[in-house]
Amino acid sequence: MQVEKVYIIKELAQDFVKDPQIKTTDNNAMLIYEYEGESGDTETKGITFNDVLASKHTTEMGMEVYMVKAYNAVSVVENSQWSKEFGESITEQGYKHFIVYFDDFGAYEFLAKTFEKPE
Amino acid sequence: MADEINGFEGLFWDGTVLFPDESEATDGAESENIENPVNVVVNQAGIDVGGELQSSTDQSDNQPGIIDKVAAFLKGGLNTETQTYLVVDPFGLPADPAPHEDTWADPDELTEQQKNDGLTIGIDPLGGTWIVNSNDDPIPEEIDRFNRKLEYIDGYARALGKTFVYDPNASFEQNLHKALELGGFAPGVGATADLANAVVYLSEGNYKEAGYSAIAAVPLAGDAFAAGRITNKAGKVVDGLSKAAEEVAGSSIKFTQTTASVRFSRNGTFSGKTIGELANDLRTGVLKSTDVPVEYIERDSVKLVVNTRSSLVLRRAGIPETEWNLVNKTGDAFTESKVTERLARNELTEEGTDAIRVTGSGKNVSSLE
Repeated sequence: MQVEKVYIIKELAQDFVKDPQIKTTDNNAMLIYEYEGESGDTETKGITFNDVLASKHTTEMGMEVYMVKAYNAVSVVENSQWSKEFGESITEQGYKHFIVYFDDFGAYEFLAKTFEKPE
Repeated sequence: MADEINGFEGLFWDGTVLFPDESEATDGAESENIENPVNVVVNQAGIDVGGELQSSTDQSDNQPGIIDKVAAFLKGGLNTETQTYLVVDPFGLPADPAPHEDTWADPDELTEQQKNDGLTIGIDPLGGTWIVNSNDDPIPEEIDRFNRKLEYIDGYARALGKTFVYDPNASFEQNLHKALELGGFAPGVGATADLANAVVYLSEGNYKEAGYSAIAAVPLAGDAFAAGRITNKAGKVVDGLSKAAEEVAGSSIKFTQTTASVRFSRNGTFSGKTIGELANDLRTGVLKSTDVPVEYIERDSVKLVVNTRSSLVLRRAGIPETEWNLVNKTGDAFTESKVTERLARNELTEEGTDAIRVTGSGKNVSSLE
């Protein structure tokens, strides 16, 4: 499986003040993280994944080596075994296997059509 | 004063008041200046390590100032008349195990009224916070609270049975370090004594020990003591500490990231705990150093730390690297890949770094450069 970074997340996981969370609304899911901002205050950002078919979180203990390539970045997994579990046609339907690896917190994966960068 | 101390046979740190009046406060102290080759000033302690210890009085009255108490202790209790060292409680406060536990905490924020009165949060002589007026002088209530804090530090050490015993065969400096180390046991205030210790080591030109003490003093959010501000305000200590850090850097163990959050993630063994909490657990024996493994990989003879926070816990607790439970993960594909990615995102080479900033208590604090 190939992992390609498509968006570098500016805020490093090493500065997160607590574990990231996944919040779902309708068909979307937001990966929310809190970090220490320039002012020293805690700031919150979120990456939204649209038309989510599935999501999962893997702690570091269960991660595979290829996942590390998604280090602190939204990445796309090519030839994903996970997406194939949902049928060969989902790729044609526009779904992609997105993965974000936050150091120490693990890998967050989404089977979704698109994502929105944090504001 | 001396009689009271002699009543304890001059051996035990008994909590006797250090300087009941100004004349005794300076008795003997003026004759001894600590020589120091390092031009370092620690503002918040009012101590110029490069020269004489500074003195002040509280603005509220004519009693010896808080800075006097700390500085006088650092300067020593040599009785010039008897040419003997007075054996004193470093903070000169009455014996009472761990008093004021709930009433000494440093302020984090001001009330609206205090803001309207032009008050601000300043840095106390021990690196914590207190509320000051426009002249940067603490308001009277804060002086009272600060004294409670000192009593807490003092009382806690003795409650743990960590009574300081003066060793007449050791040098004054050795006794001083021993006494200061006791303060490091008090929850939430360890950074105070650690930093004070670093200052004393610096005063002796002992960069390596100063470095260890300074690292132990790396302020950590989660401590009730707002110690996160120590290195910020004590930025002037950086010149000296950078030398100390170089000595510490003599170790081949390097960080692989430039910052680290203060709290452990929920996934691991130390779920949700802070570096400071675990360091206290180590200090008090709740944890052993073997309970805090530190994984690393080795590249070009450089040990690159994987578990940054664990290494900070051990340093914070003053555990020498020789006693660390180091786990070599060299060759492990996951760990190797992770370190490579981490170094790249932190814009570090494979030599790693000796400097790290603990985040979670405000930007530009908790630096060790």
